[in-house]
Amino acid sequence: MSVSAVLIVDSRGRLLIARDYCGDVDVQAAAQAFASRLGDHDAPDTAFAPVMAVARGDYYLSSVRHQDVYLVAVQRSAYAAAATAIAFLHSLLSVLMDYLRRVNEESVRDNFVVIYELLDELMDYGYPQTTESKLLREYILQDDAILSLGLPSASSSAATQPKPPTAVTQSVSWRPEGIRHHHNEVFLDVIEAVSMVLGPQGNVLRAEVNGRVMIKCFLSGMPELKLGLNDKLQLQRSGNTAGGGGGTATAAGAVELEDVKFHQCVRLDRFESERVILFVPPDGEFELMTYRVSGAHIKPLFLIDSTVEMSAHKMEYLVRARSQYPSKHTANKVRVYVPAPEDADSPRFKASLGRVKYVPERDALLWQVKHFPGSKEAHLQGAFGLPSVAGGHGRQWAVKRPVQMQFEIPYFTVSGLQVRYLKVWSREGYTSYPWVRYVTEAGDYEVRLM
Amino acid sequence: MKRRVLHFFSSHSKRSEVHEIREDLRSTSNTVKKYALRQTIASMTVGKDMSGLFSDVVNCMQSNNLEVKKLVYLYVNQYAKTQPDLAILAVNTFVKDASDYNPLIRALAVRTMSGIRLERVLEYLAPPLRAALRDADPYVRKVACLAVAKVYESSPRLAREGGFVQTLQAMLTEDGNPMVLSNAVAALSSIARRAGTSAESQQVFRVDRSLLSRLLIALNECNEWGQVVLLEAVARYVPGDAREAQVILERVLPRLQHANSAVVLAAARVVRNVAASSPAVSSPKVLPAVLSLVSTRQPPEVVYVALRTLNAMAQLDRGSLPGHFRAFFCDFDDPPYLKQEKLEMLVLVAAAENYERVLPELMAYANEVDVELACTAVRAIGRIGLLVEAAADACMEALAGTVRQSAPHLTQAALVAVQELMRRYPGRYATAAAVVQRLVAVSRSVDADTGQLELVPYEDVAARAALFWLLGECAPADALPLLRSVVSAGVDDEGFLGEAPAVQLQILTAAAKLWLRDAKAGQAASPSGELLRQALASAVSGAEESLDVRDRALLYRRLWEEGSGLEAVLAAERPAVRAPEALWESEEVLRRWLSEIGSVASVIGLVWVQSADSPPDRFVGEAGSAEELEPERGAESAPAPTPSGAMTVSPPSRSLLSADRGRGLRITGGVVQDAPPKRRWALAMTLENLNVLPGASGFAVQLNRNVLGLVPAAPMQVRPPLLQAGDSATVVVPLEQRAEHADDAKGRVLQIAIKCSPLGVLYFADTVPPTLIFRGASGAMDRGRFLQEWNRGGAEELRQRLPWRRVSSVEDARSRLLGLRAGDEAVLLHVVAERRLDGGRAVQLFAVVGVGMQAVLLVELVLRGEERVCEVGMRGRVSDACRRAFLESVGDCL
Repeated sequence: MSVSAVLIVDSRGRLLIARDYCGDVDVQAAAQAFASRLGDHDAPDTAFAPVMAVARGDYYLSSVRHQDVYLVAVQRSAYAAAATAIAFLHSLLSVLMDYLRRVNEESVRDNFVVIYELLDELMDYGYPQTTESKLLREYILQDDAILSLGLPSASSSAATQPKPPTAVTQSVSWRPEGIRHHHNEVFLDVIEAVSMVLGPQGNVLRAEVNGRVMIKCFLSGMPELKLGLNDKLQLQRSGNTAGGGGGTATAAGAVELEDVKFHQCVRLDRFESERVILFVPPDGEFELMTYRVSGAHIKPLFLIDSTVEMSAHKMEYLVRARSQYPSKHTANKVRVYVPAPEDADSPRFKASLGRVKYVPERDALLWQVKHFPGSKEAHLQGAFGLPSVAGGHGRQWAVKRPVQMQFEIPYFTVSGLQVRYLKVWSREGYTSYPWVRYVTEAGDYEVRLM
Repeated sequence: MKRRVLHFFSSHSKRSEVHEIREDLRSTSNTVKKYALRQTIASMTVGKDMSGLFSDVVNCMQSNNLEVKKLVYLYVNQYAKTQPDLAILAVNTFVKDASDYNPLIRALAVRTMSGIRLERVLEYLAPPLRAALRDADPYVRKVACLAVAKVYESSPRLAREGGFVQTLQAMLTEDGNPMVLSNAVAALSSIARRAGTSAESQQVFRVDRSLLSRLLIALNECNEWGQVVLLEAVARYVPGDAREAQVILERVLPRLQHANSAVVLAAARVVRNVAASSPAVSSPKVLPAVLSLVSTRQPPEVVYVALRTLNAMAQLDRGSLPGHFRAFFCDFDDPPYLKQEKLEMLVLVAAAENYERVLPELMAYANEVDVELACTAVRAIGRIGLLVEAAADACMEALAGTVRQSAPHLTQAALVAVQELMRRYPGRYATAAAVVQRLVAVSRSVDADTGQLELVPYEDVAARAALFWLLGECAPADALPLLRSVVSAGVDDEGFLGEAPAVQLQILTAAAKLWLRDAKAGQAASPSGELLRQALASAVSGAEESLDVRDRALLYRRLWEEGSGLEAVLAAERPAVRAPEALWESEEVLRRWLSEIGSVASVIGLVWVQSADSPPDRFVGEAGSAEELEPERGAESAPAPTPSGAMTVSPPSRSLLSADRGRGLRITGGVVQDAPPKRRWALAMTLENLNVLPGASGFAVQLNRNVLGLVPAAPMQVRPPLLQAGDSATVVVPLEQRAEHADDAKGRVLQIAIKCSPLGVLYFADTVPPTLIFRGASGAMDRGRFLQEWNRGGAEELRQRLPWRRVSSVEDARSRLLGLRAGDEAVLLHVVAERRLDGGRAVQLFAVVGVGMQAVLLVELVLRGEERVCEVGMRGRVSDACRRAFLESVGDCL
């Protein structure tokens, strides 16, 4: 069931843009109802959920927040799909990001004409239509100057006007025809984000690897690609069809992927039946698939332990970080945020590796190491001065917050996922060169100190 | 070229500004025009009325500049409704644009024109729309499909006469383009929803076997949004046998791996429904698919929807989720609403095999800076103990571990939780003693001046009551001095008399228990006796506002004086406290939510009331906030609320809500109207709290739209405000009629929601007695109007023959009919015309009956003396239930 209207409101709930699709909603009233919920400071924070009923159940609002604006979908029926509304708002957001670069109150105000145009095209009568910004760009032009100022208005012949690309309505709705590239190249990046929560003793409380396969595709025509991974199920399947010859040998290094989600270009039916990843890629960069790996075999990449000694005027830190990955790898851009009390002053710190900086806006110490080799230990030592008068709450809080980490380790996957092949078939018959890279980075990497 | 700085959103609008825009609109330069249009649209967006510029804007439509055209279309779309005469001016250009050779403009014209909801504009749309549906370009066809739905919404007649619905139906099988197909499906399902009867809607759009296979094939070709539409249509199909179910699953299961969460949830809905319809098929993949959305890779809003769905799944099948408890651990930067939902999930998935890992996590949250989250975490620990018996001891210890003197908010939550645990597992006092000792230790302080012990003044009444209950039940070391510090504080608004009634009751009981303990130990003249005497004395003399407290005090005193009775009362075996599952939604509701995965209702937890008359079209709002349920404050039209005592009505004996459906609250009563001349409406109810433990309080009431347009005129006031377990109370909520709250389709059913803590929101319905449904002669109508209404197409007629039982002659019958009363005084039938038939042997009456608040029922009554019958014909947009009620009253009177 459909969406009645889409609103864009600012952080205080004032209406910036409203597009009424079905004519059964008073957009001003809906925006006011949203604003009154937004401004209701008596209600707990949790009352402001992404889906809510307002105006005595006349309107159901689904909202998505981005910076200082909210995108809001108004629905009239309780049977209406809130899940679809939210997914649409996120697609709208990514289209707007693509068009406006930054989406905030200012950019929305400055570009309201193109936003109205997009809203008209993205959705019709409350049903989402096309949210591929690559295609939209072919017929919704952002820079109106090209369209009208460049041409004298009298001679702006209709022949120069944009037309809807055929791909909008085709089954391959993400790739226009007639693409030409001089070098036919495909770049494939396997990026794994490690989210981990470690307890004070270095015990793993939670570990999850969220992986994604990004493709940058510069291929001509309508190529068809096939990707082979050392996914456990994929290998078992191919092992079976090959007569089970080397089944066990290959399966040993295989990875068990969970929650695999594919870009809409992947033939899901073929994946389901044959475990083959087959697709006609969109042009340029896109996310081919995402997956998750969890379980006990994920080992921490960094271990942190710290001792904090608090006295009335001083807080002394000793933080040790130990890298747990093989020594042939190196982590880059390692950033460790160690929580500090909000009233800290006169920081004096020294690190055995990298630099240390006090960042008061995050109430943290930032320990940066450009290159952190594997199987190595580094430490950070020093102290803050504390004003004697302040209360203990902020200081306690400092110790309660976890240490947060950022890093990236190139040529390394925690899960052990590997690309076995990437085959390209094209009618044009060119040969193409796939490039594969692996990166592991930190997702939410936290170490609790107490 | 003119250049000027533009302030699109400047807040002050001057007359001259509109004037300037008008001039610019008339300019020949496209650039100037465009800037003027932008300014117009900007003002329109912030809610200024720019309709005065309509004719000037429409004149710009001729422009062949695409952007100017789009801006004009946007404007016209907005204001056509308020300027119908001027909108006609735009029609020519629309029609011309609809045959432009650029498909973008053709589509734009059809899309915009169909969006103007004026029948006279839509009439011109028919030929271009017909052409657009057969357009060579699929882009135009897909826009045209939805245009048909828009036309149908404004004018079903036009859509039917134009044959558009049939064309759409044909396109389902003939059009090869996947996007056109999905839009046709979307349009037809929207039309089917609007069609009046279910037979009609079946006729418009029914998924049969052949269409099903076509939809399933198209799933592979559509874009993501098309897939959502197709999956929603497939979800309506009930497979005939297991083989067919298997075919659907084969096609739909792969969708669970789509990157778009809307596709995943729509597919999950199909898979669940298919599995539910045929027992031979299982759907093991739904749970992991929804669970996969609870990931840091997904935006928080999507995670929220997934969590709400899992919540229903976990309540329905507690065995399915415990292994996945890690998915519900909070991340440091999750928004607050997600953390709350995740904690809720942790409670639901807690089981004997995982509580050891869940509890430490919850204790970590209890240390968080966010007070609300910390309290929820403490309460969650208590609830896990109530749910999982094996975890009860561990939970007790965990609760003791969270309390600190410096964090009273945690202690308050823990007090309530520990009390509930002890009442649920009465045999576990040994493990509890240490916990209670610790709770009491952090709840007391030493007065700096007097050196006496006193209690930390917790503001939460439930926590204070729990604290005294624990003092009495476990009698820790300091129980006596602590109680005394409260009881003997002499000032009026402090000490015992300053407490809420619920706390006073617990103090009395605690004092009595302490005395009993001492008495058993043989210390008859102990200080606890003095304490009890004091407590009883202040309760009897001082507690005027609460009769409950006084009654209990009097009872205790009497029993105490008699000697042995008090022990029997206090040591009486108490019924065990029910497990919290009893407070969950019923299985039927949960199944319904899961059959609508991803819908608003299932996400925010709305319950709909089943009624015999009409399918549920609107849900009763739940939403976490009390504001939804309370009557509007400060509504200027609302009269000053009449004190409920002023109305002397007694509740009818109709049963509204049984105790098991009402989570322990039984409600009888219904809508009443007091005697003339006031004729005020009220909802009179008797509430009985049959629960063992919780006292219900904080009542609020809300009514759904109903035939009488009734809304509460004053807040629901239950006396006493705390309805103790086992007590009953009579409530009279004054109601008033409001036109905007009237809904004629509801029939005699009045849907009511009552909210109270801790029972949550309860939904039930009352059937309004026939005599109250009819309105007096205010529905007067002249002959012309009557004839027009009577002959209006579409109003189906119901005919019935009623035999006479009491009356003997035509004249007798006629006078009885005319004497029929609506309610108490007004005449029921307002006769429009009357004539004699068959030479005086029969009388034909045409009359109007007012129904509910607004609707009228047109009736034709023929009294035939020879056959001794009365023929009744009825027309008008009135629900069947009301018609039946009318027939009943006519039948009774003859």
